[in-house]
Amino acid sequence: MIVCVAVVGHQNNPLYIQSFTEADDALKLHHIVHCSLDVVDERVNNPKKSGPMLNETFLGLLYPIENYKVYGYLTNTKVKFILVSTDLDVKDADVRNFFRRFHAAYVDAVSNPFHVPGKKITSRTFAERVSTIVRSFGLSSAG
Amino acid sequence: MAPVAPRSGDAIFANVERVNAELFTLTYGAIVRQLLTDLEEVEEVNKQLDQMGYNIGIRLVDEFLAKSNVSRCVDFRETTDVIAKVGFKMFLGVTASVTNWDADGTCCSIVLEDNPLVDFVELPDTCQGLYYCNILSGVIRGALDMVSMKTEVTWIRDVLRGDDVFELQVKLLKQVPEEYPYKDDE
Amino acid sequence: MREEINSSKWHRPVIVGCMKESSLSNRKLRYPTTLGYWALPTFERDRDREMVREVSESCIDSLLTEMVACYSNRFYANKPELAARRIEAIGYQVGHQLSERYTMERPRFSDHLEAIKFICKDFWSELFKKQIDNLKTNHRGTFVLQDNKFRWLARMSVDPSADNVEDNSSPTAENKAAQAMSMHLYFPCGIIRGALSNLGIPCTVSADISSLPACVYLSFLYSNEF
Repeated sequence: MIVCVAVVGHQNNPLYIQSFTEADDALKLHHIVHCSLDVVDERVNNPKKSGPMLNETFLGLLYPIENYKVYGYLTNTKVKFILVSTDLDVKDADVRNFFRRFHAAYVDAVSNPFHVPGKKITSRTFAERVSTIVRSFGLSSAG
Repeated sequence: MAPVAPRSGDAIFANVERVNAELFTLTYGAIVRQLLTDLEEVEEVNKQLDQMGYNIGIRLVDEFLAKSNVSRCVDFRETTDVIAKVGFKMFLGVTASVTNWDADGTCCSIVLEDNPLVDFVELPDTCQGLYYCNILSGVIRGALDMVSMKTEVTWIRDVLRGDDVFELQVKLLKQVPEEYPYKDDE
Repeated sequence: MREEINSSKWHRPVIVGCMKESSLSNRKLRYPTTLGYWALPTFERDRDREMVREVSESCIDSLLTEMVACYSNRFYANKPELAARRIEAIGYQVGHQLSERYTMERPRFSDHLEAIKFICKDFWSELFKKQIDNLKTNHRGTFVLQDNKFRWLARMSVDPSADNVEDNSSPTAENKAAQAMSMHLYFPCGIIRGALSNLGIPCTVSADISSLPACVYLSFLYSNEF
C-alpha cells in the first residue's frame, strides 16, 4: 500500500507531501522522500542505459529502503513526483498508471489561476484526487 | 423569400471556428489574477470584469445575430431564452436555462451548470467578495443593451462560493423598441 | 470531431497598412541557419482519453481585444510600457500553465533545442492550429520564430476610422493601428516566455511585424550557450 506521495519542485523545494499511514511515520517518510531526490538527480544526470529509457518521465524504482519501495517520476518542467510504498509485489504497470493519473491531477492543480508557481499546492480538490488515486492503486488493471 | 429558420446553438457551434477552451480559461484566470494584483480591491475587480464583459457583449451581438438567424426579438422572454439556449452554446459551448420568471415577465434567472471560465479554479480565502465570472454579467447586460433592453444583472448563486450552479438574475428595467439595430444577413 | 490540426480556414486578413519594415535579406545574414525541425516526431495529445473542451474562437478574440484595450487605454493610457508589462505578465502565466499541460504525456526533452522545436510544432499547433513556419538561429542564443499567418493578427479588428484608404498614410491612423498591434503581441510574447522558462529556458521575447499582413517574427534570446 502507498504510504507517502510527494511533489517536489525543480529547486528541490517541497510542493506537496502527504502520508497515508496510521503510524507516526511522517518524519521518517519525509526523510525518505528527501533522500530520494538525490537518487533522482543521479539517475537523470548519469543515465546508465541509453535508448528509450533515457528521457522517460517514469524513473522506475529509485531504491529500496528497509521495507519500503520508492518510485520516482520527473516531468518536463523538472517537477519530481515521489511515491513510497510498502508493497512487496508491485506491478510496473500499476506504478506507471499511478503516476499518469497523479500527473494529470498535478497539471489541473497548477492550472488554478490562484496557484503560485513554486509555492505549495493548497488545492483541496488536488488532495481529494490524490486520495482517490492512492486508494485505487493496484486495484484495477484497466487504464 | 421565405424566412430562414433560426439555427440551434449546437448547429452554430459545430460550424464556427473553435479553439481549445484551456487557452480561454487560463487567459481569463490570468487576467483576473492580474486585475487583483493591480487593483487590489475586490470590488474594483468586480467592476472591471463587468465593464469588460459589457464591451464584449455589445460586440458579440453582431456575430450572434448574423449566425443564428434569430428573428427580431421584441419580447424580453424570447430574448433571454435565445441567449441561454443559443448564445451561450455558440460561444461557450454550454447551454444555460431560464427559470424563476416573475409575474410581470420582467425578471428571470439564467442558470448555468457547466462553465468553462471556472475549470481548474479554486478561490482562495483572501478573495471573499470576488465574483470571478462577473464578465458574464457584463456580457449579458451589454448584449441586451444592444437590442434596446436595459437590464440589471446580479449574481444569485455562484459555484465558486459553494453553490451548486451559477445563477444570474436578469431584471428588465426599460425597453425602447424603436432603436433595434437589426442587421441583414449578408 | 476536432478538425485536423494542420487544416486552416483562414478569414481574409485585415490589412491595416504598412507596418514596421523588417528587411528580410538582413535577417538571412544575421540568422544564417534555418533549423529543420520537421524530423521531430509530433506527440499528439490522446484526445480519445480526455474530453477536449472547446469554445468559439470569438471568445478568445474578444477577451484579448478587451484585455489589451483595458490595460492600454484605460489603466495605463499614457504609460504604454506599463501596459505592455502587464499584458506580457498575463501571457507569462498562461504560457507557464499551458507548457505544464501540453508536455504532460510525452518524454522529457533531451536538450534545449528539442524544447524549442516543441514550442514551434506541438505547442503552437495546440494554440493556433498550425506550426511555426520557420525557425532560425544565430547560434549565439537568439532564435527567431516566423509565423506567416499569425492567427491573432489576421483576425484583429481595428478601429473603423483607420480603415479608410485615404487615411492609411496618415501618421495617426497608422500609429494607432501599429500601437494596438504591438500591444496585442505582448501577450503571445509572454506566453512563449512563460512556456520556455517553465521548460528550463529563461529568456526574453520580442515581436516584429513584417510588411506582409499577419506575418510576425517572435525572437527570443537566452543566456545559456547553445
